[in-house]
Amino acid sequence: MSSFTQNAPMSPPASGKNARLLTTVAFGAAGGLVGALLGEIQGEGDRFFADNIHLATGVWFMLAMVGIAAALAATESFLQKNSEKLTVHLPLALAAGLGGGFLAGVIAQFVYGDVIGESSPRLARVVGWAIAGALGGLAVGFSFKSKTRIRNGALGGLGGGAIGGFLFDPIAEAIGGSNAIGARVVGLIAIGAAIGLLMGLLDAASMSFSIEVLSREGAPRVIPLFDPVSIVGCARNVAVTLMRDPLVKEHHVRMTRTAQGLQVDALPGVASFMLNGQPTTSGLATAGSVLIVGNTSLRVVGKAGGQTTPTSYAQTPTYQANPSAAPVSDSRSTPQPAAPPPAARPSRPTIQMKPKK
Amino acid sequence: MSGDSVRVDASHPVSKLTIGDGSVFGTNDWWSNDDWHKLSVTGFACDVACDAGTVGEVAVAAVSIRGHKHRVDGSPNEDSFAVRVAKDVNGNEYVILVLCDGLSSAKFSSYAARRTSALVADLLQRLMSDTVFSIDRLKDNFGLCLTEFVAPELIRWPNPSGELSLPAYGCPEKQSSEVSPADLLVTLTVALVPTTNGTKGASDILIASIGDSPALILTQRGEWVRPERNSTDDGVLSTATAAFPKSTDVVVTDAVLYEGDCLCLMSDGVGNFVMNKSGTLRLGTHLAEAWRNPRDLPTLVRDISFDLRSADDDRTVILCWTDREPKRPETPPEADE
Amino acid sequence: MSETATGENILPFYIVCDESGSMEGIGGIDAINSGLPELHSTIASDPLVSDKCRIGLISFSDIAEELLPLSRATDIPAMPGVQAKGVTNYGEAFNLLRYVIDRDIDALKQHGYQVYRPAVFFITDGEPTDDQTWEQTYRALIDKTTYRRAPNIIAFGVNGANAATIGKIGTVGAFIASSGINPGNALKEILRSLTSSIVSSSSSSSPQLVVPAAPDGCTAVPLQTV
Repeated sequence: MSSFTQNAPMSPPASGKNARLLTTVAFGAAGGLVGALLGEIQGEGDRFFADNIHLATGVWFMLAMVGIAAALAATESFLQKNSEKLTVHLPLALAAGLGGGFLAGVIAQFVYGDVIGESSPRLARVVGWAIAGALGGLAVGFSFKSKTRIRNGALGGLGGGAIGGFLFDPIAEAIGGSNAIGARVVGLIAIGAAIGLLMGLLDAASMSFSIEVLSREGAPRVIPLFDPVSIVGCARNVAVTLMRDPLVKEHHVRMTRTAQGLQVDALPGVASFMLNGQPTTSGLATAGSVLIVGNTSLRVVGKAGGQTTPTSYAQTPTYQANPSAAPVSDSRSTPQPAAPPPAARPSRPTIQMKPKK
Repeated sequence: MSGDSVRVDASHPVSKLTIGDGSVFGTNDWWSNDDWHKLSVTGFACDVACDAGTVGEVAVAAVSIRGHKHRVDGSPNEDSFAVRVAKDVNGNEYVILVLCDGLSSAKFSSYAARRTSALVADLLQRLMSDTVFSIDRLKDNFGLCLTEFVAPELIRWPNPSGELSLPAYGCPEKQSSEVSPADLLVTLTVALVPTTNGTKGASDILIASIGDSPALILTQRGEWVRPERNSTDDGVLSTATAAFPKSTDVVVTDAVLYEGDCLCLMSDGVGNFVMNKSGTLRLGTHLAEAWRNPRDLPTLVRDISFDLRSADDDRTVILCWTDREPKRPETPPEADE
Repeated sequence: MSETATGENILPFYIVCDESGSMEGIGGIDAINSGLPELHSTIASDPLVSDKCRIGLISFSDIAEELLPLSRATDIPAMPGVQAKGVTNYGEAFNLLRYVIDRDIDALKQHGYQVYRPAVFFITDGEPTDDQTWEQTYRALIDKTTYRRAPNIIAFGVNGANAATIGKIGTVGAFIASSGINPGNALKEILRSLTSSIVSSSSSSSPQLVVPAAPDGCTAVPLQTV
């Protein structure tokens, strides 16, 4: 039983949310640049399928969207400071970006050339890029294997693509008619940034809880939970990946979003985990709760709540070390055998402070 | 209108200035039963000291407030200031500003601060009337002057023996030979400011210091500028500082005051909350606006009586405005870039 | 209201307390648990100290636990007490200390506070059981050239504590209880002593850690390098 008073639920600092959004925009813009450079591989007079404008446009869109999709897929790996996740997200984003981008390009050319026509090229571009953005965003969301992010990716890509398509012509006019390459590069950067912005805004709106990993190495990192059910483990394709703790199983605990908070359940093969200082196999975590899985502390952070003060940390032990774990600072120590699960600890006495005069 | 009427001019309110959440100390009145605001048994509590006046084109105000720490333990204010006016042999007039902050680890630092500030100001006044005085010579020899003229005087006071043994002006009630220089440590900040603005409205000023009491310039644009740079950031705060008379290594800085600027000497009880290595702090932002022009004295006292948690040191400022006539509105001008 | 930092000064104090099984037998657990409210009351009732200092409590046996995160005394209505268990793993205590110091200073600075060098009061009643490994962790914690936030440590030893080991742990002060003194009473005096150190350090307008005089029943131990 916790002996602390509860403080206001902790929310991710505003600076953290803004950093996530800015990172997504920056990666989108960088992806647009990469996509534009990839698109220039073809050259003006040296296109693939030069005799078929639809297929040629499909190739160009494919190259452009591959850059944007790959960059946005890499965002999560960057934010979580986990390069292993790239090996999961990137191949899926590339494959989906290639197919989706090609398809989008064919459709866009069909819309531009055969439906709307040159009577309204701007509208055609908006529609074309909206479709491309939607399919590209879909690819990014698919790479995260998250239904929520697939939805956010599709919608964000749709809106961001439309915005970028709308801006394409003004950008081209601003740069100058003779510099078509420059106009395409800047235009694609704007499209990539717009897609990243819309996706980032939708992701921020759909975040309910985040998990702050209180790692022993480096600054704490915050991983948002987008889906109703999230898995914590050392597998690279789960929502919360803990790679550095040898005591964490591939699928360690499951977190299910409920109206009251996060229902946390140990998965098969896991003896127990600590929730707010108590060993358990199942429990309800609310904002501010601290879990210890293996040897790693995790704190649940709510979406919105009271202001965090430097003294209102989680009110329960935030760190416990396992005697069998090798010291972090000693890379030469021999690996220790896995320790038996910790025995249930007796609850501590509560020391009441004297009332202030 | 009746001659017996009593009026309070509401245009001069003296309200409380609170920064952030305010301190626990600030929740009590000075006369409360908690006894958090004690008189100094030895006198010279100096809860509030203030000098102000004009000379030439400049206006000067110096204010010192006893800190919460000394109010709680009933000891005197350990800051002191001195303001003098002097002319050199060429008829150039200067205002001499001296601020001293006694170290809390020094047993008699309150006396040392009062004595040192007066001695240094008097010394500069005498030196300036000397035919061979020049600012450059002063810069080169200031440390030597402190060693030769000020330090010996600092440790001389009437010894508590004989028929007339009353302590003079709060000096230690001990033989001077029994008092170590470590018991008389103070930081020292000195500035020499011409009383008339130079050509194109710019005046060369001299700032000399031992220790960590900062000299800042509040520009006419409302920005704080620190003429001298020192120390490195080692990640945590440090209270280590040089102090006179143990150290006579004077850091001399040449600076320029433009018309409309305000030179501000401060003890660290104020300076630490005006700006730090990261930039201007909340109090600094407020004072940058408040001190753009000279202000009435009760309001200046209120300004440095700010209530801010952990700000429990003595607070002293000397403000020197180069422009006596406020030529700009109180609200900041619109940025033109 | 402006979002600019106020520059408020904070002195962090961490009490690191041994709660190995041997502490029970010497009355150490009761002494610590009964001394904590006294420490809290003294700090919370001083208007200057309570504003400026923050205290945190860490216990260690075979693992280290943060019982009280760094907090203002007036914000603490209750805290978990120490409870005897396990062995005496110094390395875990120093590891956790490093982690919480970094976390706390980062958070305080993020909120605009100016933070003085942390002070640690380390209390133990015996020799470390991880005697092969704790020194490396300790060195990483206190080396100011590589770790800018290295704390000042005052170490206290009672009962079976080794004077030489205590001398190695303290960086600014180390004290060991005399052999004839009841360890429980010695611990009470130690708590009073560190309370006095916290108050003196925080009360000064230029705060610096004031090493207390030797608690009653204790003697100062020469400091040694590790």
